[in-house]
Amino acid sequence: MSCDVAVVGAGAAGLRAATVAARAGLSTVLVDSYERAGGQFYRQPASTPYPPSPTQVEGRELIEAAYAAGVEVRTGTSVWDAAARPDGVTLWLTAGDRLSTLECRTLVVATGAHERVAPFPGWTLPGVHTAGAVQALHKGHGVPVGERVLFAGSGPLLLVAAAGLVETGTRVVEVLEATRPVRAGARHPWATAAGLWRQGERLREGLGGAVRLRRAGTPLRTGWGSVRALGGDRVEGAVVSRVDRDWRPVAGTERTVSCDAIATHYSLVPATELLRLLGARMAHRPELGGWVPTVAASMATSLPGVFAAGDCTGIGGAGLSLVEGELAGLGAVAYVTGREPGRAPLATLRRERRFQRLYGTLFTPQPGLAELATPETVVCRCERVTRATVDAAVAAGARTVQSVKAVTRCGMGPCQGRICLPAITRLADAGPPPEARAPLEPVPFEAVASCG
Amino acid sequence: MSATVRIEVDGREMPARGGASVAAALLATGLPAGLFCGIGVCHGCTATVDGVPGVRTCVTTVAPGMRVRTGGDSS
Amino acid sequence: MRLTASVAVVGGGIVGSAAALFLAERGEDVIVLERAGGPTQASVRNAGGVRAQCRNRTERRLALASIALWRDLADRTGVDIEYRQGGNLRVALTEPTLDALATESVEEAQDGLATEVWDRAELRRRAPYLSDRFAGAKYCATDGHANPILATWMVVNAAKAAGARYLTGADVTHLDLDAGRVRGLRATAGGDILRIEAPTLVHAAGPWTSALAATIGVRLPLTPARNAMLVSQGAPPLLPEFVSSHEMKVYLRQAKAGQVHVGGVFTVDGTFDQRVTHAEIAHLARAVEILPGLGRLSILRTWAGTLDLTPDHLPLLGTPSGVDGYVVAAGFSGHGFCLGPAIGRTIAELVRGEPTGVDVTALHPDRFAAC
Repeated sequence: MSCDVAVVGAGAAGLRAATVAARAGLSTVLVDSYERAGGQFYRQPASTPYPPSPTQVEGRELIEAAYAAGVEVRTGTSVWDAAARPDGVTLWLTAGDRLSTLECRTLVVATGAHERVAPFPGWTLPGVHTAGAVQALHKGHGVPVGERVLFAGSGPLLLVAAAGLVETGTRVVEVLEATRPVRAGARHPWATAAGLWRQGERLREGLGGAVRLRRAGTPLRTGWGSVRALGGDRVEGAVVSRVDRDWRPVAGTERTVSCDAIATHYSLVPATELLRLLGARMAHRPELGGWVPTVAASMATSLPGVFAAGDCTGIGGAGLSLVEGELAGLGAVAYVTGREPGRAPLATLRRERRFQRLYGTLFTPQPGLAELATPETVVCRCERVTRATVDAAVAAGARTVQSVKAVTRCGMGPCQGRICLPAITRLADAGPPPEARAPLEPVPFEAVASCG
Repeated sequence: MSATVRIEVDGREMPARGGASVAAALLATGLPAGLFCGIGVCHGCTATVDGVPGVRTCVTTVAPGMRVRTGGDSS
Repeated sequence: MRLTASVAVVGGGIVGSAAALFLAERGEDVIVLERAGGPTQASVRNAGGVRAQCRNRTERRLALASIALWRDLADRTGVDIEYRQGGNLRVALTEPTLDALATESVEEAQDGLATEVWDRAELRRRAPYLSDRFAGAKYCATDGHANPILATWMVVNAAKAAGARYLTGADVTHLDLDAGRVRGLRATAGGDILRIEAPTLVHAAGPWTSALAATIGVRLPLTPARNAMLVSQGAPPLLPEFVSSHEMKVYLRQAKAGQVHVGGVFTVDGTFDQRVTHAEIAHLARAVEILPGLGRLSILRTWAGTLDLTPDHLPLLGTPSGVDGYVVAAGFSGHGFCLGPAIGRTIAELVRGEPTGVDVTALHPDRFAAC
């Protein structure tokens, strides 16, 4: 099967890019591994009893616009291998047991991001989740993760997820943000003012969330963090403490909080496996979340005919993802048709980039994060590898992430290092970006053998 | 709201809301699901579903008659 | 920086490290130079097969010696290298192939290696988890497999414990040849130039050996070949033996962690490229035709290593005529991991002029000198 434009990822950026391409008359295929389009920010209701939120309605409209423009939307479909050709890209897709190949003339990668997690003592107890998991269960299925939930970490998602939860009656015991955004903002007054300029909706949502939490009796504390999860078979409580500017616990400020679930979140890490597999040039930008593809103003990567948009190019929020998606769509159209690209929404782009810069200034992880894990703390959840094992490997001469992986098995489990390798990177050495190889997702033997 | 779907978990039949993920269905009835990231990245929530091991329950929608086996052999 | 040693070893993989271990134990002052931070190439990327069956006679003898050495080293060091003697099964699709295996079995028995030939019915009875397409198989109960990463590091650490010095991040750029004898080498290490003076040099750098050897006029016929492998998700025990089909070019074994490792395809494309191709993945997925139980499982990860193939797929081991003080140990053609310890001991014997435990004259690099 072939098409003019293939878009991978049906979140904000991918939906917008695909719609732009299809409206220009190009044959466009949009694939996403999930069963429903929308990505994370625009996650659609699946089995929730609650009415859709304004964001979900907005997402619904984006999805309908893509269908209306003639985009062929294939959900439940993952890319497991890809190769750049002189005249385009070949994508190998899997949908359950069914394999297929898609040849496109131009590709837009909009694979978004996943949450950054930091291993801490007790984090493998049942009841510890990412804030995104809590939000997904709530927004998608109306299922609360517990009755007394503690949110701790860093990033606006903590506030938004917690506020969403209290609205439906779940008790959130505390929300702890490691940074002190007001103080940090005061240290960078111009960047702060620029970043918040014309971000009325975001400010309203943030303040509204804070108000909802206050009304529900949930304390929102900045400069605080969770240090340890407590419990036998599952979470029963947490030890929390003040943290300094490097996110290191301040001695003498520890106290215990009773809770039956913990939502942890340390901002987001761009999901760049497909880009690395194709060989796009990458750069390490901590303020954007880590390794990101280098992109031109048109969102073109270093590979001819391959564009990238949204959080996979650097964490920047849904507003920026929509704009970048539009740019990438315009770029893809120009690439295929040879015509000049359409007008870019420059004012919106500039505004969202200022917000992105502010986000990076406020929510980049600090060194204390790597120090939460004790020697007994499991750092690779899939293979149950402790910090002590990793430290021993580094001491014995394993310097890069690849060699730590080879000797300790960190990153060799089913998640293929997506959860643990960013944390291992903090313990070992930055080095080159981790290698990405096919299959990007586990793919059934039977299907590959019968179609190869 | 949504129709009820009947699935079997570790030999016991239980109801689930139509459109729910298997993990959400387990959590809704108070069963543990191994859930951590909730978006299909960490593979913590895997179970054997209809004979196939290693299925990520947080991104798998319940279907009528689905057989789920938790624990042990889904490495 | 200048250093002296009695033996310099170029290459810190299984062969170089085993040589360093046995040399150090004999009192030699050994320096090993490794370009990476530790063993990162074929030594740690292979399937971990430890077998004596289905080999050329010289390799068979080396393998038998190696198996004993692997066990001894693991016992001595107390390191768990996940070595299990679960057996090796060479399956045959056709009767003629089975007949050839039967002939081989007789030769193996003459060398003291016990193997059994199973017909179709016997194979179904003994290994019912395998596909029923095979005419039979040859089975060796004392063969098995280990974890190549843990095993190679065990040898590296044992060599260090015996006194060998390891210089990592050291890229050897020149071999110093003077009046027909190698007297040392030069390497770059982190921007510095390192000069090592040593009366003997062991060259065990896998497919990268020939380029450097050529600079001193030694022509080694090594061809780089990509060996792609894949691994399945973890599974309950499905397969006790290391199974291989020469005809299908697929072999597989199940590791301690439960994942099934599959290999068997070598691609010669003139490069050292280690990116696994789509065609290679599709080929290796055919392991499901050998072990149907894989059908419910998924492929989790792929990787590749680079082999050094010789024209006869047998190693080059010895001192090429006209170049004294220089021992070549390369061209293992995919057999280096299993044979590593015995090769290392043989190198130590050659360097010290001791009679070699296994006769390796058939592996001398001069056999290609006329080509």
